Amino acid sequence: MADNRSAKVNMRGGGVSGFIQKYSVIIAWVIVIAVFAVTSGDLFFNWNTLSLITGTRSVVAILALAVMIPLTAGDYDMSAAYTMTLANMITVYLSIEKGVNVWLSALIAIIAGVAIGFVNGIFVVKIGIDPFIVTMGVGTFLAGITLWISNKTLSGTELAPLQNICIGKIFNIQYIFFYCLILMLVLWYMFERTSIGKKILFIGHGKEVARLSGVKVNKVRWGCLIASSTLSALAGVMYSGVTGSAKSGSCNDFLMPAFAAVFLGTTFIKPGRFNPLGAFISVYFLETGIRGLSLLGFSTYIQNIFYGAALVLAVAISALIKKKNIKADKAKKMEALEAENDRDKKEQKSVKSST
Amino acid sequence: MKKKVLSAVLATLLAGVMFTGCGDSSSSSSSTAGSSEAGSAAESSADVSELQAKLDAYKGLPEFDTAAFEGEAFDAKTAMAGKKWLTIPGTSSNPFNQTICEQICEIAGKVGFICDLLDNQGAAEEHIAGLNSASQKGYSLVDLQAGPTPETLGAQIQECMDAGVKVVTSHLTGYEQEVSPISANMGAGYYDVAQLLSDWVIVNAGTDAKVLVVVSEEITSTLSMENGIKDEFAKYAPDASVDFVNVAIVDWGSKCQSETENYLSAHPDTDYIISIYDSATQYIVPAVKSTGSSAKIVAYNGTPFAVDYVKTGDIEMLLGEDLQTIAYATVDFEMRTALDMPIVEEPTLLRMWTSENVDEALNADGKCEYGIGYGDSAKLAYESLWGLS
Repeated sequence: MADNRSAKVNMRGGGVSGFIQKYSVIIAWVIVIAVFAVTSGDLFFNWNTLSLITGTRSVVAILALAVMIPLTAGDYDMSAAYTMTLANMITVYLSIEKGVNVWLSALIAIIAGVAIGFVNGIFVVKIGIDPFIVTMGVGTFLAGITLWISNKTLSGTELAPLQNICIGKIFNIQYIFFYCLILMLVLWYMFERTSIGKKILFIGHGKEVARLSGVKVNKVRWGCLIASSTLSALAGVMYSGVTGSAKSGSCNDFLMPAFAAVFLGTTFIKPGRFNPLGAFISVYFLETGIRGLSLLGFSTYIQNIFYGAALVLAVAISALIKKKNIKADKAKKMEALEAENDRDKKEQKSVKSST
Repeated sequence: MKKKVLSAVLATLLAGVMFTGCGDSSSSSSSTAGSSEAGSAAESSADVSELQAKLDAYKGLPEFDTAAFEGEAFDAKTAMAGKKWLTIPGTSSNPFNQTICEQICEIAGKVGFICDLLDNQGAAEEHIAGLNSASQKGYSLVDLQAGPTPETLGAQIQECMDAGVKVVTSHLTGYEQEVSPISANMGAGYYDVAQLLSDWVIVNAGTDAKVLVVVSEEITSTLSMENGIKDEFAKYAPDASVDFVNVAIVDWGSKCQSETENYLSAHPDTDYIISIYDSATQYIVPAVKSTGSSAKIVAYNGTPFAVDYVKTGDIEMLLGEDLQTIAYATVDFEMRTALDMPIVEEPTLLRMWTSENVDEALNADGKCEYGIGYGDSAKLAYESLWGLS
């Protein structure tokens, strides 16, 4: 009985170690803030820093939430940042160069995102090509399209309405942060409370098992790729509002921070699982570290070191957690088998004794 | 248990990354003194009053100074007959580079020789391929326009020169900078431009101005501009605080805004931001807005969208250069190189754009375009020198 309880505790990751694992990044975040507050004083610990941390990187948070959806179903979307750049270019180009209403331009950009996800789905789901390769190829294709639309830096007052709804502030925090927060909550609800969310998680654990269980795997994977591209396009539209401009290639570098945050998000809250809250917090945790170090005088190279190290370490931690969970699963199954055997033996004995 | 320990170690390492290299070099290098000796406070005050007059000279249409130009006149049509050039922009994705190269080929057509433009996306292998094909395709000269430093293409350039093809770099360095291996290098007035940007700041913010300079040190001409800024502040405003933040061009999209925000957050009393390449203002302007900083922006180049920022008041002063003049100057310099004539220092014509005169840079639709607002003095002077008019 005691052994069973112990197995249960291990499985659920309870106790002090479980608590630390579940909230590790949040704890680290608090420590990081405390360290920066002590080392740089008012320079870091003020409302302006909070405003900057929550503001500028919110587009990365949207991108991270976008790529997290197909990752949960076991597929990579490497075209996400290129979709974001294209959507940024479409929004700005149409409104500034072609005089199209800025909201209509934004809508066209998002529709383009839907179309990109649909095309990704054709190759990945219908033809069955590795999503990593397909989305890399589509991303490069999109980079060419973006450059073809315009090789200039575009900027103009036509974007003012979009800028107002992105960089306007409430409690000194830009509106865009709250959009990200709402998006994260919607995705959290979807994965935790809806059948489609459960199906995506099921597919991520094993496509064949999910298929045999009656889940329409291809449809769901296709939907995930479309959702990813659509949200990436939304990130591009928001980026147009944040910077008020567009240039080919301007968002491509956000792919690494987005993936770093998503993988770091698997190390806490729901250890070993892609989860929106983890990804969301990770974006701002990483940004806190970078902002703090920059304020202490570190050069721009710190961003590369930080995101690169975060991605590698997060993937490593995630892999270790998964191994641990598999081991715990096996132990539980073995215990269940042993218990079943014991029960069989007892039943056989009782049958023998009764005969 | 081992796995748990390993997980904890990895998590600790992640936090540890944030403290890597504590005490390492700063993102911003501070400079309050350059290579020149600073004068006394009284001398500085007198000098500063001269700076306004120096700046005022750039408010109107720039004029080509024919008397000061040292190049001899020659019959370009006859001398260049049968010549064939290849012009390679640093990257075709930069309209500044691409437009200059397109104009070089247009001018070549007027003179009467062949000029091909190699479209590229700035990858080294594209430049290498262009140079490798130069001798096979019968080019007599290759123009590397604001591209990579010749050192990175050394083997290919040497091979071209050995085959009798002249290789010339243009608009890559300041007049005082040297590069090799190369047949000739046409410098530009980057040092003077940097001094003018500094002068504007000193005149408008005083000799104790607090200044952020956003640079991209991988570009060869940046060194010339950094020296120009340091020397000018050391000479006229030794009490000023001048910090440099380096963001590579490839990182502008992801880092320029955040680095500027961080600096402004740490230095809320910043008076001016000098953007030595105005394309970076795409990210500097939002950074100023998001931090609520009162810092003003001055920049160099004259890229159309940056001129639009002057119109909206986001950039206070923009020092623009005339692309048509650059193209004519490049053709003049390279024709002299191709014909083994003595090469001369080609002028850089500049115009200072502010809210007072920015309307002169706009087209009929109220948008800025390359080539508007600089006049035709250089074009007429060069065509006269070449015997075309």
